[in-house]
Amino acid sequence: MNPLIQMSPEVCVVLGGCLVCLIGVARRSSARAVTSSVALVTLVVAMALTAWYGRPGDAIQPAGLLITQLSMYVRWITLIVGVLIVLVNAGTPADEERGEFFGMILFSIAGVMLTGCANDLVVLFLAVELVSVPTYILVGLSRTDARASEAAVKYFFLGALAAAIMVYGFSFLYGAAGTTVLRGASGGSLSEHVASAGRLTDFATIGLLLAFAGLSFKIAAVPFHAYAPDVYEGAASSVTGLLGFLPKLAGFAAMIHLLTAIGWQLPTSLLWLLWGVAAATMTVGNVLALLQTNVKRMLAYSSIAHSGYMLIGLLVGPALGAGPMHDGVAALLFYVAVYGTMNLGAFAALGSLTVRDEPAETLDDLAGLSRRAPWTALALTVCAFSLMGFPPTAGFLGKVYVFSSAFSLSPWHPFRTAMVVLVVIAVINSAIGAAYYLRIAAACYLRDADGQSRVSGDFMLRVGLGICGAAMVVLFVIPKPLVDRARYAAAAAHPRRDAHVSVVELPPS
Amino acid sequence: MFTVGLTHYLVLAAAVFCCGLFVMMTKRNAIGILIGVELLLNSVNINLVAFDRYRPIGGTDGQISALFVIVLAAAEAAVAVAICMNLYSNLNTIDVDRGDALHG
Amino acid sequence: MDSTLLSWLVFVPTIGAVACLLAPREVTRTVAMLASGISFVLSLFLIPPFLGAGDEMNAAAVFGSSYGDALHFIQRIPWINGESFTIEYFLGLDGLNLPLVILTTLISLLAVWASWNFDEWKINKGKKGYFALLLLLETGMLGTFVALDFFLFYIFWEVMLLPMYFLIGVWGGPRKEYAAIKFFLFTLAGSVLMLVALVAMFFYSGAAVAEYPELAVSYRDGASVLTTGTFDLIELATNEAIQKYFGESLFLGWRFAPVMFIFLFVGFAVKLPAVPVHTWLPDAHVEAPTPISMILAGVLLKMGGYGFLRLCYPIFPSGGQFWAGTLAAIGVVSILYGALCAMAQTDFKKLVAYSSVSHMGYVLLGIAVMTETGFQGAMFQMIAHGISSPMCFFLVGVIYDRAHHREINRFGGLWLTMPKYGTMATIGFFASLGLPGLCGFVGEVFVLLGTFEARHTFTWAVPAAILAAAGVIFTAGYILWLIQRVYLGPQKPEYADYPEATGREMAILMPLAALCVVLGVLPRVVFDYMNGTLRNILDQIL
Repeated sequence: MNPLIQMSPEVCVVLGGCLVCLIGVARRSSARAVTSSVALVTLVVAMALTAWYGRPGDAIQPAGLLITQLSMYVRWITLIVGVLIVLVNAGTPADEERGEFFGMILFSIAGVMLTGCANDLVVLFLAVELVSVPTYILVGLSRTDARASEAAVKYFFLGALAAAIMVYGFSFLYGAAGTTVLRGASGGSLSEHVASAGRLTDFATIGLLLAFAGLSFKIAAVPFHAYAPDVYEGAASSVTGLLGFLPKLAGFAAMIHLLTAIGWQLPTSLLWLLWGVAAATMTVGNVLALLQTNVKRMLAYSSIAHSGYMLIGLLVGPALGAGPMHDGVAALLFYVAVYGTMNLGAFAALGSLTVRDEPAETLDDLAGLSRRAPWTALALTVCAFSLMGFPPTAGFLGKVYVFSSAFSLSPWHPFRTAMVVLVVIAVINSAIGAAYYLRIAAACYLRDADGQSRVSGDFMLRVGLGICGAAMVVLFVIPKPLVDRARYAAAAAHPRRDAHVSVVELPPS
Repeated sequence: MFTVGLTHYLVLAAAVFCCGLFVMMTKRNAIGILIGVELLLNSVNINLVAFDRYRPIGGTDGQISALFVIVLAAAEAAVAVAICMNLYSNLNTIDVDRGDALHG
Repeated sequence: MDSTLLSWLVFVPTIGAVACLLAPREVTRTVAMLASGISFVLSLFLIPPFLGAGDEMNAAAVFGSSYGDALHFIQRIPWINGESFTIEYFLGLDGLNLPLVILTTLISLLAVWASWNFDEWKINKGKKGYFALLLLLETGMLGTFVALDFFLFYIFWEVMLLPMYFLIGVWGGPRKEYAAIKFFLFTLAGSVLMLVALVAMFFYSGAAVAEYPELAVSYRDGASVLTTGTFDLIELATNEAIQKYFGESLFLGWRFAPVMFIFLFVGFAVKLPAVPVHTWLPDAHVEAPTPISMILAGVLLKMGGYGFLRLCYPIFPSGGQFWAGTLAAIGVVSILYGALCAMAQTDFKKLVAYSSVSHMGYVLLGIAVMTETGFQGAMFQMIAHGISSPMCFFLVGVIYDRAHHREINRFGGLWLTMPKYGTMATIGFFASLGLPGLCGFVGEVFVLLGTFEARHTFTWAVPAAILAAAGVIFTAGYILWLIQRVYLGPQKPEYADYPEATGREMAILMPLAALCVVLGVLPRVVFDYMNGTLRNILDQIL
């Protein structure tokens, strides 16, 4: 098939982004107003293209792309959450900046989709940068005050540093393999190199370490987490919801690609390192979140903590065909989709509130919200309980899947005890986490004092918020569609499955 | 006789990388920090080209990659300058230490 | 014998909750009353299969010859399944949960009725929300009692926290926010380890059936062999392969069964509540509105005891042996500490709250000694306390509605003002005291007898029984002193014009008082319906 047709969803999103940028320079305000609708249409068209032309299993060799079930999963959840992101952000930018704003959102979405398809270090690097660079601009555009530009500067420089570290690592991986192809190509690939060497060479180990260090920034893992609270606080709330999802998904997808290429054979030292990173990430995130009164900072730390939970799934790795209770990658993919939605919902709720024309940010602003805006309060509370991992919400299932995947390691697996300990650390952390998420619910419902916040968000934002909240409950009752997709996607990351025949046809159970 | 090998290039790249890190950590001027970023990315280029020269298994992947990194560096620089302009219009300075509204 | 009756029972209150939200404000309480009334009537339809179980001949037919052998009203639907796991929507009824289910529907009905004067409360905003949450709470409680799939049980267990949290937090007293968050966090912190146990038990049972496939015969049909891990609570307890594997495997270097036992125990002990994790209870009770206190004391606390008997002991019998001494010690300390604290209280409601801690200590002691009499006593004590404590809380509520304070020392001579109310109060508090002829007595005596029975197994049984018996004296002390201060003595002028208990109040108190007497005189009406299952569980353990 023509590579351009296979990649048509990504192409469509990029072209849509260009179109939106062009519309943005129109002289008439009414023309600029349609940019968000054009962005929505683009995403819907991309979904249709994905449904029609998105056939997993074909390597697009000259372009270094490989479409697997993992790519399909990343495409779908990016597009679906992308629609929510556009809805939530519909009223965020200033009138004359709408073109750039939605253009950047679309470019970032295209970057995430491309990350899912990458089978080459160069493409992977470019894709991850295509996710990040627009987000730097979005942070700067989202508000006009000094805090936003300060946040943009911080985010940019730390992001550029992380990208440089990552690509420095990629150069070592290239040096080890002699090619930039990740797996399965005829002319050699990183996966073949690792397979023939039987272990990771020194260059490959260094490369992997540096690449993971760089990607840790994208997922906001300790010790590369420090930017998150400042950037989250500085950016407008609805943009912040996007920051918790797109870079995180891209980072995890890139990590999965790299680990798949080396056959999930991490050296023990790196495993322990990642173990420590996971434990530190969830603990630091949750403990520091407890100390916050600014809800955005609190959710920023919670975002860090959630990366720690997701790293558990990454450490466990894939298990061919097993459900998410046994399969770390499937659990991780399920979790990241759920997390993206609930996090977006929480920020959307914040974004819809203003206090005397300033954005609402603190717990005091939320006090008594249930009486002023019952639906917003309800959606925010549902998202908070979902973030807490409390039934009946999808966040609970995500947590159970991730935790149980750690137990699925066979008893003679040398890392099993360590993983079980990590799960115990994680459940203690989720109890700590409950304390601060509960404060959000308490502020909305239990406080008698009236905060000053008023609902002023536009209609699209409230639609997006409602979908996020409802999705959390619906996905709890009917998790199967998402779970199955995650399962197929994780099977594509399984090392025993040859890349050329990665059409995963698992029997629908 | 002394010959220049792969190791020398890698050490050079590592040195440039460390210089870049050092610049990023010590400079307070945003443009100075941007120069640090450029140094980091150029050290990557040295690595890529050196590996390409000394391990010629997979064609010219390394050189092509280096070109991509250069292009990306240019794109990043453009964004960086725009963000710095934004900072300047808000704070009348590009000294990043003056941005201290966010802390935690 | 598939049946949807339990599902109806569990979800009728949910339907009622939705109806409450949709119906106009004037009829909200009627709708709530209707929904809880229907579920009470439905729960009575659960009794017929158990009729005649008191007869030795029938007992085996009703309760089965072994644990899990004869479950009634079973409903099984796969809910979330994958290649190697199935989470079922699995409900069932046996002698362990039948009395608790009926208790739940009864107390919920009375609590809704006790909320009838909602409009006169200090915080009377959000009427629809209040009744809807009350009904959702009933769904959560009933679901917890009838779920036989661990995953489902866990979900109901957690979900039940939400309505309770909001009921205390929104309609509570001055420190409601603190009390609600404390209640939520204590219970949640207790249950996170339960989540670890949930996952660990699933995977260990999977390993077990792989290790001993020849033993892994399922109880469901007695023939098929289990091939994957399971969440089925009965399977976990009765499958020989699983039991064998649980008994011998290790968890992080410790023996699996005792570790899991304690993981589960922490969650249930918080709910029970046992000293030292009881501190949320007085706060929650003091802040909660009266009907919520009734449910909290009457039903929620029973979930801890139910959890011990449903999960801890049948699945990890060796854990029970291992921790018996510790558990009994915690039980005895709860009895004594709770009673002493109650004695020191001047807040009427706090006194009753601490008396709950003391009374639930008997439950823990009776279970810990692992004798038939002890189990029966513990179960009976749960039911008895489930009747007497809501009554006591309602008695407090009646007087609080009139006086708007709960200072025991400021009351006096209320019997003279309100003779009918005073009579009811005497019955309620004497039942709580454990006066022979009233329900509290039977449970305590059985627990003490059961503890003595265990003297050959446990050296500490006799001292424990003596100390627990001493608790009865303290209980008598604080209750008699309470009655003297509040109801006896000269009539105080500021209370002289208080109206007698209204018809509604009497109607709520009467059935509870009647049950106190009936259960005290004829304990068989409870024992008959549960002894068979308790015996089966005990056979399973020993």
